[in-house]
Amino acid sequence: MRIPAAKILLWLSGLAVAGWLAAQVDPGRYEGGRARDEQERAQRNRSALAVMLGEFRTSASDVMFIKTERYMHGGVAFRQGQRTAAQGAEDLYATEEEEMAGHDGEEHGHSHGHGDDEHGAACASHGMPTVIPPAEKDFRGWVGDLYRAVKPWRDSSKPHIHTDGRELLPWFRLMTLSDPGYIQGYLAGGFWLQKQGSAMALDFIEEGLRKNPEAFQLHLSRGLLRLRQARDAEAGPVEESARVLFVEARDDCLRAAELGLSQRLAKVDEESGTVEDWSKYQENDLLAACRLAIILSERLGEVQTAARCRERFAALGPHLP
Amino acid sequence: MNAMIHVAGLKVSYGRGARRVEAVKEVSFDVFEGECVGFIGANGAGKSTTMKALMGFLYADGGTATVCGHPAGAPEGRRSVGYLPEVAVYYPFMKARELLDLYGTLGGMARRELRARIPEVLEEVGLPGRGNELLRTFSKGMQQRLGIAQAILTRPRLLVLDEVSSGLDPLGRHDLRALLNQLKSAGCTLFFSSHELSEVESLCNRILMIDQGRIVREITQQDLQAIGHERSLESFFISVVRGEARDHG
Amino acid sequence: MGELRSIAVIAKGVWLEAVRRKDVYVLVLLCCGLIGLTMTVDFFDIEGLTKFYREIALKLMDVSTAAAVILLACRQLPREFEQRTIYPLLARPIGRLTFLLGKMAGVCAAAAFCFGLFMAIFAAGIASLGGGIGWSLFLQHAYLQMLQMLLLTTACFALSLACSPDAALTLAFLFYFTAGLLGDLSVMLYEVAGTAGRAGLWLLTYVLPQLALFDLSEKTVHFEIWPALGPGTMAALTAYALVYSLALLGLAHALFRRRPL
Repeated sequence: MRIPAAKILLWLSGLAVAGWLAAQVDPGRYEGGRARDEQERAQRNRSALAVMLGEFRTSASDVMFIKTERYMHGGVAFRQGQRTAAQGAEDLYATEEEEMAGHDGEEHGHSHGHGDDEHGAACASHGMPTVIPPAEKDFRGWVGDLYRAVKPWRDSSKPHIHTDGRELLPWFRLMTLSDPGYIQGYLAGGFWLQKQGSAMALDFIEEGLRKNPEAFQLHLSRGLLRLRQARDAEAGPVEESARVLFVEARDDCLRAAELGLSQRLAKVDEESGTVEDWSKYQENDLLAACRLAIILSERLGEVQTAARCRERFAALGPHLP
Repeated sequence: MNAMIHVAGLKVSYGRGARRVEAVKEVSFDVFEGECVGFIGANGAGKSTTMKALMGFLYADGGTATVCGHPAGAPEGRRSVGYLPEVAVYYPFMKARELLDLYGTLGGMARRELRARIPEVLEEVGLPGRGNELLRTFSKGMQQRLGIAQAILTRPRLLVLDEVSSGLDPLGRHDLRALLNQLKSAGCTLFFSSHELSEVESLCNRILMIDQGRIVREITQQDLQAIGHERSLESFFISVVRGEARDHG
Repeated sequence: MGELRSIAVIAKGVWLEAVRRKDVYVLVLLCCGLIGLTMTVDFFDIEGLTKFYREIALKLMDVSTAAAVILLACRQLPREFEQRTIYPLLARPIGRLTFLLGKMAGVCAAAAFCFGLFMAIFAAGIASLGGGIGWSLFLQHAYLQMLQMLLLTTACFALSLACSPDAALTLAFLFYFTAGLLGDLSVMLYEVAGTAGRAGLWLLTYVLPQLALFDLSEKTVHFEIWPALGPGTMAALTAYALVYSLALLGLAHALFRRRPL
């Protein structure tokens, strides 16, 4: 097993070259960024290198996302097959949006972001089967018992363990470095980061926006963060700065709503009239962006803008204020 | 006399089925205590295979073989045997002293005894003061000397040496001959193979000639003297092997 | 006593090989480099994020130790055969089982040395980050890793006697890296498998040693939440490792006992 110095050098050079190549192939080189749809992905990828290394990096981000979910639950693994990583991310983000909207005195009167003490029953993973099944469903007998004793495991019907979300942050940092087009990573990361300070979260979301300017959910997220800052500023002595922040928040929500709406329109199937490849999370985010754009415009006294928004977003249905 | 090696009808083969090759075919011989027996033959004649069977590295398909009164391969029998393999390569990451310490300990020597014996044996094989050198720095000849050192380390009663002078320069061969003579005088039984027939001739009381897996001649001291009057052992060996080849053909 | 001395001296040879050939140091350096590289990433200037460090460092430690064990164990016997260094060894009054046990003990000693180095680096890293270690879980993790290495060592020896060195290496790495998946996948597959498939999965669960049972890293990472394993579980895991190691040793010995050299 003698490994001569030349071989070690060769390995290290190989690692360096692989690292350099990986850095060269930005997943953003997929036209339009991360493509979840296989057909779409095939169309978008023009470079073989991008396919190989880009996919590696996006997959690495997915794995890291799953890791954050496990961290959240003290290492307990839930079955991912029944809920994709992306859905998980959107789920996390959805709670943030609802929380903010809830604060705004809208119909979302309850808070159930991960990490809240009252989280319990509202946790997205609540009732989800764990990877290691309970004894009555495990065919492995005593081997299964050993697994349950050694691995982090809890009966999923009982209240979950929840850890400090702070420890998830390195994973969000790494997953967005690995795949800068991973919008859900920015969204969920921003949510947890705001608990450390909204300025930090704002920086992170803005980094995401620089890399994904068309991501309407990131615009909404920035709007929500600014809204929180505006509320904090309202309580302070200088009300003018709060107004500036309210305006910025409204503008972000408006931009998010406009972008989201145009993206949604592009996904409408002309024959059936249904929206294809558009998740309920995206729909909820779009609705939230529209609602906030209207509410904030009214709050700023810009009645005409609010009316214009109502008219513009009427196609989304009866949920607008 | 006490037979240190007793072989009767030994058969050893390699491979299975259609690829089965009989390397040793019903070989029988004895090596008695205090004797120095040379084992000569062409490449592939079955010398190393016989020696490996004696050490228990290969299993016999038929016949019997005992070493020091124990069945070939039994650890009890190996307690009194020193063995030099055909190709000697030793752990390159070890120092000569460490290697001999390993073999000596496995041979049942006490730590204190080994501490005294290692420098002594290194000197005997012409490697004085080389105990702390890593074996990766040793030349082929030095490795062969070390091989002889490990074989004689435990002062065995029987030495089985395969291609004993392989890789040695003329000076090394000269030193080896002196060492083997010294061991012979000390009463050690020697059973060795070599392609250096002059060396075999000068050292041995008896020579076993093997060809195509069979013992074709047993040459005693008297025979050697008779051969010596007419021609060399080498030309005798060639004529026997060629003649035997014709016989078998 | 004589047998034990023989086993110890053969093991010492393997240990010397691992230490002198510097493979262990290369692995440790690579490991440290990778951990260091991860640590250079700016995690929003937030201090005290030790869980991430624990996760990365433990995983790298475990994988590197396993890699060292696989590389060392899978090549022990083939190299002895290839370089013919086995002849002077087996020419001594020792049995082939003693030889095998010595070699295996040597690989385990090298694994312990490697893991010991990693533990020291890990503890130093945690101290520098100002974080804590759940010592009882961490020590249990280290102990279980040693049991895992014992299992892996015996499996590698059996593999290296049953197939070519390259095939043995590949199979051993596959076995190690899929071990984590094996437990999870078998449960999921069992739900959709037919009768034959279920029987196969049942057999697989009991025939293949479950290496993942000896990985306590997840609980060690989240040590604030999980208590240390109970003595009953530890005893069961020890017995499990010993039974499977003995079975694999028996298999290796059966393959080696009458092997022509």
